[in-house]
Amino acid sequence: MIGTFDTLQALFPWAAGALGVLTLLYLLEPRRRQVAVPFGALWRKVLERAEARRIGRRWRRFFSWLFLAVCISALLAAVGEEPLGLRALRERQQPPPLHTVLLVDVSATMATLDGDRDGALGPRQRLDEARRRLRAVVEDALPRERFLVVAAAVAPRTQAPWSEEKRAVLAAIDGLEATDAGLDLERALAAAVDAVQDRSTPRVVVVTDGGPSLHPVARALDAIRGVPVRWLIVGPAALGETPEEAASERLVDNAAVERVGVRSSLIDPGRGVVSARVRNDRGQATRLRVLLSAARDGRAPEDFARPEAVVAEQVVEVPPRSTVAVAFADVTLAPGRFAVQVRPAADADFRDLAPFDDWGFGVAARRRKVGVLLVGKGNLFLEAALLAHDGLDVRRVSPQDYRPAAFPRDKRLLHGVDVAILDQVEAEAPQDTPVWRFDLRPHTAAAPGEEAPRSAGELVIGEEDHPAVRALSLHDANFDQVRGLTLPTGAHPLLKERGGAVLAYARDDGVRRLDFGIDLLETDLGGRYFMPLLVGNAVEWLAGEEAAIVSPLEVGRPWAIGLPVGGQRWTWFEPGLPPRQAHASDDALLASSEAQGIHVWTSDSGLELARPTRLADGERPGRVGKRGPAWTPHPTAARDDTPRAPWPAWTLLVAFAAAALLLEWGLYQRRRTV
Amino acid sequence: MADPATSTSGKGGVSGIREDLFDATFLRRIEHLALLARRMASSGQRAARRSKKIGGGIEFADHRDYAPGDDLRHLDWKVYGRTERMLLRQYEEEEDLSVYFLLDRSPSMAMAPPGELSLFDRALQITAALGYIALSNLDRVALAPMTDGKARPERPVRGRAQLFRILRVLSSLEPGGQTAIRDSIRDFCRYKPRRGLVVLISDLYDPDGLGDGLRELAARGYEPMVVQLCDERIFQASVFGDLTLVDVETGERQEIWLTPEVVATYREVWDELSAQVESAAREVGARALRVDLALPFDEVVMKVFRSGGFLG
Repeated sequence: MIGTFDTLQALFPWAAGALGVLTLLYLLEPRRRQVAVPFGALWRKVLERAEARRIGRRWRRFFSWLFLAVCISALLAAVGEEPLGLRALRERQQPPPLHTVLLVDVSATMATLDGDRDGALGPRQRLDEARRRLRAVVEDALPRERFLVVAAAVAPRTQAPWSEEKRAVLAAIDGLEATDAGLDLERALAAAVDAVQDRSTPRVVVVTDGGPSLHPVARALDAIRGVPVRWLIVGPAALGETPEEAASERLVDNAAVERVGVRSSLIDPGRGVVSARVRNDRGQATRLRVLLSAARDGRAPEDFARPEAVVAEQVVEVPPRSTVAVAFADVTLAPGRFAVQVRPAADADFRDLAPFDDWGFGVAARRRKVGVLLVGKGNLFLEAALLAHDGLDVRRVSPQDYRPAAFPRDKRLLHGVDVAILDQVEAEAPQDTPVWRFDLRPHTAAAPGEEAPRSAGELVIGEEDHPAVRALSLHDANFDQVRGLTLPTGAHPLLKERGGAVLAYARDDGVRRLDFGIDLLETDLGGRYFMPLLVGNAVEWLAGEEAAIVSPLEVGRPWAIGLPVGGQRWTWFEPGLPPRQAHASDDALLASSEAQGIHVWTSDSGLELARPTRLADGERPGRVGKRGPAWTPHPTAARDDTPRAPWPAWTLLVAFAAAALLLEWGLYQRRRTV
Repeated sequence: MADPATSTSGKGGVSGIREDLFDATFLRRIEHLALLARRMASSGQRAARRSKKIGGGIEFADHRDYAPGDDLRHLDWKVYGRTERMLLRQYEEEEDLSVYFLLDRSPSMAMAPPGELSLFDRALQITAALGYIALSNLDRVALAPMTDGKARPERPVRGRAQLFRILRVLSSLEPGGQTAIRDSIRDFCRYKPRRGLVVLISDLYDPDGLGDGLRELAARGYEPMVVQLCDERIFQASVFGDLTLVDVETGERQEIWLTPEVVATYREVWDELSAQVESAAREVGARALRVDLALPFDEVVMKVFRSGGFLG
């Protein structure tokens, strides 16, 4: 009916004129019949007595006038209604309406304060920028363009139904508020496409900061199903957006920190290694600065962005569209919280388009002891090297007591064992436990003479970068007896003769293994300084690189963080946001956030849990930029299948007006003939 | 005696006489009415019509006290001898009866659907019939058409041969003016016609009422008789709804939403008016008849006879 009233508004002068003429005709009384009577005075008495003048003339005439006025109004409304009326006539002369879904990201990241491009307006929410962009879309709307405003977070919801009224749409846009939830772009896009795809001239305008989504964006793009989508990126990711870039599908210039790990040393738990994986989305090799920052109470990127927080820096050259590992060794882990930031090097012609993924965060975990099962007759050098590490809990078992056949039945035999070391033990190694094996005897499956012990030649390190032998040199070690090993597929040689056989290798086929074809009693290796380093590296690698790393939380997903103790109230310190009460079940904290940084929960009793976050694997701004079909504002083929009521208002109005006119005519005829 | 039915000029009728009202059939019927009137008179219902004037007649009428100056010849000595009272003998003066017809010719009398008789037409027929009967009784008949407060009596005529004269006069009358019965009666009296019977034939639509007029006639020695004509069809209105009523005489306009209820109210008011007429007539000892247009004129005449007073 709003359209009807719009049309009637245009017809108002005509309607007013018609009503004026009607009133004038009633004043002039053109249709009142005159009847000659013989005795007017007698009729005057009749009128005075019956008050026929009052009831009959005034009110009935007024009601008659009102009745006709209603009839004319109904006819005018019918004329203005679709599809027979002027409105329909006007619509037939115009192209079918456009249907545009305004899909607005209202996830938590939209509440982020960004500076405007020139810095003149100061910080403001990304959602403010989104509103500004949306207003521009609405203000530039084509005639008869209808909008549906959908607020997208974890679950999309309709902010305003279909409407052509700009004021209503703008009011709905102004009413958008950022939520604490994440964004499910796939679900939101599917809902928007469902709402628009069967309507004439559909399109979807997505306003987002390109922040993380619960599902990979590539999957979200599959939900578009051919509907033209226009992407409006707000926030830092939008700085480089140009129409050319918007139309292209190439990867954009972007550097990102994919993952950060903080690992304390077995030798010195107060120090450790901070490792990171740095990605270059650019189509060519790029020199990138990798900054390591530490802050005792740091949570958000701005806490680590202070110059005094930067503790180390590296410059690496990353091949095109590749990821490299960067490690900061011998880092003091006392601050506990670390952030790695990647920036283009000063000499790099590089414009990072998505600063939101430039940060990675890590937390130093309190290292637990690594359980080592040492099986052998006893080797002084090996045991001395193991004792050099406080972080090792060594359990010694003689070869006679070692019964691997019992492991599958009795799990308790291997309880607390992270690594098994078999020194000259003939028995099989445990199936699912990392094993470091020293064995000079030939392998049972080897051909006769193939792996027979022999004198060693010149030794070289086969895989210097392997964590087990990193920063070690075995060149000057003396080996009396060695055994050449057959290198399995996928194994990395750690020690080999120059131009000769492999003497030690590392293999990782789900369970890590180190095979050394030596006997520590046949070499001076055990007495050298690097033996404890070798043991530390080897046990760390066998126990797993991630063993001492706090697992990061993926932003946008639901989190369940295990609690050491239950029954306490926990306060959640979310990066960049004030603290608030955390939701806790009996044994876990339940949360979800899109805030990148380090999330901290503290209990009433003073316990503290810190978890870093990481972006979803599919969150790459270059892929966000992979647009759907090009948006064409004036398609040639379109149809208007706007749902209509089975009985449009005009049919009811026409029926009412016709019935009213027939009734009035009948009454008039009755007055004339009865 | 001329037979009015055979005295007309045949098919074309007599010149100046409305054939639609006074055709041969009408004349035969009034002749029949005249015969009925004579038969009623011979049966004792009517003796010789005498005036009530006390004068020089031979038939004793009454006594009255002697007053100085009276003619002593009329003193009743026998009574004086018995009672020593001086009473004077009075005698009725016998003379011809004058019958005046005050005929209302206002436009309200002329309203009728096309092709149908109006009250005015019926009044003309009644006047002609009563006039012929009076002429047949050797009474003096005079017409006094009244409208606009005027009622100048025509010269009285006598004898049945004067019927056609009366018919011509009646045929020449046209409706016009406004009803003002009281003023018309006063105007009638101003001409001082001889005393006699005054038959007022009208619809009596007079806002001033009829009482004053009748009282004046009675006071001047006339014997009034009222024939009120009405058209019952007015109470069977065929037009309802939003109407403007226009008075045919004054042009006064009344806006009205006419309904059957309003018509019923009109009937009540009209009945009250008729009751006022009868009351005024009774007040002066006159007779009043209400006659509907649907009633044939001969029955109207018979109704007049039966009411007494016309030939009695």
